[in-house]
Amino acid sequence: MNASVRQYIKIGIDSLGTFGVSVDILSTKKWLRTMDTHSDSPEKIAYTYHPPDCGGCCSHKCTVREGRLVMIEPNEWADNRYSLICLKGLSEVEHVYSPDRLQTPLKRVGKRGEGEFLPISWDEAMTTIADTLKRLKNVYGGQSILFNSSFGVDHAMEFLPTLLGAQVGGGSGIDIGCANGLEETTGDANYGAMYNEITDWVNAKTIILIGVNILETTMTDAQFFFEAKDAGAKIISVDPAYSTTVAKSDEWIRIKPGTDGALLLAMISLVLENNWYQEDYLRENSSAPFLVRLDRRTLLRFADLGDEMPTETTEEAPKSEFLVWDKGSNSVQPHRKMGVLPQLEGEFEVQGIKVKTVFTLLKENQRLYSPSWATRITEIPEQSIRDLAEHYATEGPGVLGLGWGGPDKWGNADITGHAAAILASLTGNIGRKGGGVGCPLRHYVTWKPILGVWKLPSEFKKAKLEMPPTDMRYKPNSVRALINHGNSIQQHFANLPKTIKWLNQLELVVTIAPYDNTSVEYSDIVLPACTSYESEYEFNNLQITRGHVLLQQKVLDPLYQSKSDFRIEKELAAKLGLEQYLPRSREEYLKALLDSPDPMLKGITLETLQDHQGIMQLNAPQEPYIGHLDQVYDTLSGKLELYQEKMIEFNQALPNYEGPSEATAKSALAKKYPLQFSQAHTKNRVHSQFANSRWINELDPEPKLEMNPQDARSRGLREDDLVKVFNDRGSYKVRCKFTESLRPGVVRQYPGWWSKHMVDGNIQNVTNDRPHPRHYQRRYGPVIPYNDTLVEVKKA
Amino acid sequence: MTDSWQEVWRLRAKLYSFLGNCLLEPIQGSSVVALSAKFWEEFPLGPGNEHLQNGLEQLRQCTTKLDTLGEEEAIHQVMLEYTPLFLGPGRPQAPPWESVYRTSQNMLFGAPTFEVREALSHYGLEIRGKNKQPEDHIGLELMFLAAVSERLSEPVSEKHASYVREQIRFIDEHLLAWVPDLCRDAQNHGNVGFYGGLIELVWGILLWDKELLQEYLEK
Repeated sequence: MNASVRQYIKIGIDSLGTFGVSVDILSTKKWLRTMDTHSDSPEKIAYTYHPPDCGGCCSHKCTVREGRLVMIEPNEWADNRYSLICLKGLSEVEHVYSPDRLQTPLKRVGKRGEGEFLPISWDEAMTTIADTLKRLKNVYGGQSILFNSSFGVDHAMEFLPTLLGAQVGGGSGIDIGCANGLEETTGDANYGAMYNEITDWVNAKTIILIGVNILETTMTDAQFFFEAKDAGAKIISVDPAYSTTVAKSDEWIRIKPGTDGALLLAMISLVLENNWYQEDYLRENSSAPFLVRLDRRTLLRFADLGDEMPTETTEEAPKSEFLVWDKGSNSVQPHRKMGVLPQLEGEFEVQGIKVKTVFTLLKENQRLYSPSWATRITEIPEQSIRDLAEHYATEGPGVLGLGWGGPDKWGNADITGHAAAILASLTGNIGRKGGGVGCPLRHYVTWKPILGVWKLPSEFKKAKLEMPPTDMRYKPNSVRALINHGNSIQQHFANLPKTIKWLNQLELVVTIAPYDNTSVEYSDIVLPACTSYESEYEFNNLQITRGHVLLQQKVLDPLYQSKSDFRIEKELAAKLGLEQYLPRSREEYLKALLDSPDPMLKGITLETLQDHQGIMQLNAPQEPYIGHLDQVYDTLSGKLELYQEKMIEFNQALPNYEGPSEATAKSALAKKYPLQFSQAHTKNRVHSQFANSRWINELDPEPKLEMNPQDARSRGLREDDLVKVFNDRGSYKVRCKFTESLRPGVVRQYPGWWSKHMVDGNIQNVTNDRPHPRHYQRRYGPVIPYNDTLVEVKKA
Repeated sequence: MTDSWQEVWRLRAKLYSFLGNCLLEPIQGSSVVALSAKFWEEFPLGPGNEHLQNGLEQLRQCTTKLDTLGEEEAIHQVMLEYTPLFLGPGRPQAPPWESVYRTSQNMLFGAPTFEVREALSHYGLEIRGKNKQPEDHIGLELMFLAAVSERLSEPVSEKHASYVREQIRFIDEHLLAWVPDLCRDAQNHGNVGFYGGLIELVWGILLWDKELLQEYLEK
């Protein structure tokens, strides 16, 4: 036998202790304890839902074994069509346990962007944040604090912005491009969402989808696409790329990117030319017969005639200051007056003022926009445009869908939206079963009860948002601290280099997130939020979608040192001396939400929800939601306002075509940067969520710049080459992939990848952030024209 | 050399607790002693094998440099090494969990986590904050060895031999199955060299300890 290995013990047993090592470090006590005899049962089931950013909001039945989430299955909805789940939901079994999770609060020690952090305690983190916010509020006012949150955060800070009098970013500039034009006509306020729920598609005969890739982006609603198709609807996809949805559509119209408005304008011309419009509908429900002063271009009102508004008019129709030409009396009359038969067309003189009807002006204006003109702009064969217009106008009812990703993110999106509104109005497809105009995704407009609220004392008020956060980067403003929830630093601003310059001027940048996303890199303090599967409370939140109330129960304890979003808000409020205004628990908060007299919520309480696997159907009609069936609109006149007075100074009272802001051959940049840079969502991500999901990344392992082989060849590129994508704003590096599904002249990057997934840089280093001046007069302000971007690509 | 197995068990318990504590959190407070060269000069184990020797040597060299910085700066430098190695943000450069190294999908809370949980439960133990962090953290696996060694230091019973056999099996099936890989990652990514040295030392101690335990069984 060899000499004992004990010989290597140089000195006595307690030697460690004798060299100044204290007892606690030699003990297991801090980490181990005697087993808790009341330990959890080995297996439990909990019900929750997937955070609603994709619109799916699937209800999940989760199996937890020995404290670990081991299985996710679709929960059963009362309306069984929604008992679904997609890969993103299933992948949470891995995603929740990602090694990317933020484990502890961190403070930055290097420069912003260098990624050097040290762990700190929650107490230190919260004290640092609270001290700074208190000081800023005292010295500069609450408006010096900006809260900005990603859409995927189910419970963003709901109370603190109000209690601090801070500004809230609210994702301004996103998903509002078309809405800016569309909703000026309809008076709606739902981001341009369609007022016919997608379940109504089955009643449509024609469905036109402009940049709507529903089969990827809203997979749980794919069934309604096919249901409509099976019922005989013709589905026509207008898309620059051959998308999954295009592949399943009856027809593909391959449009030049950024020219959707030109197509719609030509369709309007064809509808007018061929008398395919619904005369009665226009007369009764729209501003088409309203009179426009030819001198000022404003709508003719009573005030123009120097008259008081007749009493009889105000009583019967308070919104009737607008005038029409009454055929019967051959005189101007309030548009709402009983017995008036408005003339749709014509030129008249009223008290020496020359006027024409909106409809006549539209007809005149449309002379500019012939199908052959549109063919030059859109590169769609003229016959296709003619056929499309005829089909839509004569084979109704028709759906006119505008995607939030495709046509929306362009400088000219408001014109697209306005043209779509007019086209749908002319054909009587608004407030019509089987019709609808706008974004058809997410069941955004549907049966929704009015929830109760958690009331904060009235002395507390949010500050008004001074300007879109994207403008704060270069215009004087009050903001000195940014509290980012999620990944809004990457996602809510185009042109990341400019965003970073702004962040470097701020006194405090905080990111609250479960994962190490791109926003973390630029933050001073990072707080680890748990995922929506975890909580300190029995419940996290609730959502109302597709006619059901969904409860988000706790599935797991928060991992590592993470905390739920609500707990973080509560603890920060405590440090600020404001905790007394917050609900004590999620239970108290959710009870306040459900405490509503709305009959749709009758019988739905936290208790009954628990008894029903966390999901209950609203007491609401079972049929698809269709808005405006009464042809009442929330506009000044109460009608569809085709003529947008607000836009007179921009020559857009009626839609006039304008090319893209940047991504057009006419742009001065086009010589240097000839390629349009487009982004399109896929089934694999929801914005920048799931970029770190390893199960999903088995299918979609890395970012690739896609391009037509023709563009690649002319640049001497080979498939999978490392390329640099660049313009004057910045650059990033990825590998390239060739695809015939893209037009020459277009490159595509699926968005959402974080900087660390790129070989170098970030997708937002190149994206266009320049606001269109006209949009400041629009209801939602400027759209961030992410797709209106030119780049060049070369071998890196 | 010590002759008393009772003393050996107590030493092991303290040694593994010490190492576990040094890996479960950044060096601070009572563990700061580990940043002084003197501590490693007087470390109670001699160079029983290559890794033990290398680890100790690296720690001595590293702490000799740290000694020149002053305590506060030394703590800061070592924390700057600890954070990206074991905490992130992002996937830690040397993920301190067995499951990451030993499951086909490198998944956290994999089977090894539950095997360690099971092993702890045999001794009526569980980790504090159960379900919040996986039991197969290197530090917690070392804590398990420490806890069992504490049991061994109690008056000899018929269970002793089986405890020792379980320890050998745990070292083989768990720690030695991944600590070499963890050591490589810590060595490659660490910019101070403290944790690379410390984990190499752990590796060496585990090898030495296995022989020690076998010696006990052969006795």
